[in-house]
Amino acid sequence: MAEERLALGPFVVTPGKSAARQPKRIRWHGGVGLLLPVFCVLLWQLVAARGWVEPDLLPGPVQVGQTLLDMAQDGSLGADLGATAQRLAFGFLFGALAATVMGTLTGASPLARRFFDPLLQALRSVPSLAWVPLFIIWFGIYDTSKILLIAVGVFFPVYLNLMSGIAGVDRKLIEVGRIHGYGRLALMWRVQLPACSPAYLTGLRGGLGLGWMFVASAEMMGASNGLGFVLTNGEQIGRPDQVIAAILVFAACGKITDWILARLARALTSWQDTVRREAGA
Amino acid sequence: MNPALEVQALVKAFNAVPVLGPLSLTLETEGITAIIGRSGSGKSTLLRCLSGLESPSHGTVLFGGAPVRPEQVGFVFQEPRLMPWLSVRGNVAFGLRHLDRKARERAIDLALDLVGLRDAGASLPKQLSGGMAQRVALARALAPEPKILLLDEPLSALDPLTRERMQEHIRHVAQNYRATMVLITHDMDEALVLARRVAALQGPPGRIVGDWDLKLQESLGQFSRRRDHSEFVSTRAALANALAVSAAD
Repeated sequence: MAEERLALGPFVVTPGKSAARQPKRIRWHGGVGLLLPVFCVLLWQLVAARGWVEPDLLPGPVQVGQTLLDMAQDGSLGADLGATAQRLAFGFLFGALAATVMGTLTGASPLARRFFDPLLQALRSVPSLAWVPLFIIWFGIYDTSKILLIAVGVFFPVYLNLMSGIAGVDRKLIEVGRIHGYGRLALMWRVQLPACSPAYLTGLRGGLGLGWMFVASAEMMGASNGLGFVLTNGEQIGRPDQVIAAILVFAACGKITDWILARLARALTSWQDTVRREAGA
Repeated sequence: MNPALEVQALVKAFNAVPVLGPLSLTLETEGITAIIGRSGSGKSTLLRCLSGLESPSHGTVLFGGAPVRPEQVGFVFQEPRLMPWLSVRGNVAFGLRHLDRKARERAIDLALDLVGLRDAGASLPKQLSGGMAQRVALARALAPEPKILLLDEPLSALDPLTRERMQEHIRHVAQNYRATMVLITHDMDEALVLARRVAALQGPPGRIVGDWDLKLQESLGQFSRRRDHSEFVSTRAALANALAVSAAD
């Protein structure tokens, strides 16, 4: 193969070996992320097979898998998962919507930030379970109180990210808008919101993650269906395999929904000039 | 003929500390007026007052006898300040909200032609070199056809080769585009190469300490290529002297 030579005026430059031999990037992708879970399952199986822990306390992965299969076949897994997903979807929607309104308001207006933010920050410190009795008193034990609890969980990461994202938009970009005669609304729509979209999407991912945690708490406080109910029911009837199966379903669903949101975020913010774009997936 | 851009007894202070003025200046010429001065002399503050980004503490800025309106002003900043989520065409269209789609597309094409970037319209800012990005910024400022074009050290962040190319683009704009253009720079050669009038600013607080009208030169293009031209040499010496005296003060 002919050696590449570059002419630069009177000089001729031959690319060095280091330039010619770029190491091929090893593309592990998601494969490397499976190593640890697989190792954990193998270890778990070993512990169960050797009887190092009582089967009544830690059933093996095969037994848990069988329980999952049974739940899927009798339709209870689909019904419980559907109930949980529905509560989460409503809670996420309401929480994200409220956070978007409040985050935009407090991010754009220093006065609104001084007015609302101290109270919201104080409420953020309240443990999630502390809301439960109040919500039950106010809204009963049915879905309204659960959805509100989830919305509270989703609200804060979205709110914080959006507020700081809008407030932190580069002043220089805002000046470009002002030079072109943009008013506050146009600036918000054309400059601030697009500029803070990466922070907002990060907030949505964080909110969704907390939403999964809060839906479990909400269903464990008193529900007749849902994955949280499967957890408490498993505890009450002494079925650790059922509890572990529900935990695994929570983990898998959380991971899948986060992956979807990460892919969406990646597509929407492809304009970012970052070192390496990770989907977090 | 463009109406005059008049700066009348302009004073700008930040937290009661004066950084500019009192300063009066009338810019009647088409073509470029360069404002040259050292760092901290108030050059950029003057330009921000002209653009409306800063309100003067005292005095007025008038264009054709009336306050300057945003749609009359085009501004090229020291950095490109492109919206990273918009393509090159999207960035150039940023100041064209008032136009319908057809007129907007035509204005974008014209502006990109003027800076030689017609083919880069679909690129994102992250894909551009520094020089290209600054040319997009110039196209964005030109697209709405402003009557006043303000250039705030637009070449200072560029390497020497790119800077020379960019100077060609600015000269091309000055020759083909009817606007009152003000160039802020701290580079004397750049000011003399590009401008038809050069004012030296001393500060803080910034005041005009010298003003040279170079209208008698044969033409911008010829003058710019002849740095041994007697007018170039004498004006450069006078400018250097004015700025040196300013610094000594």
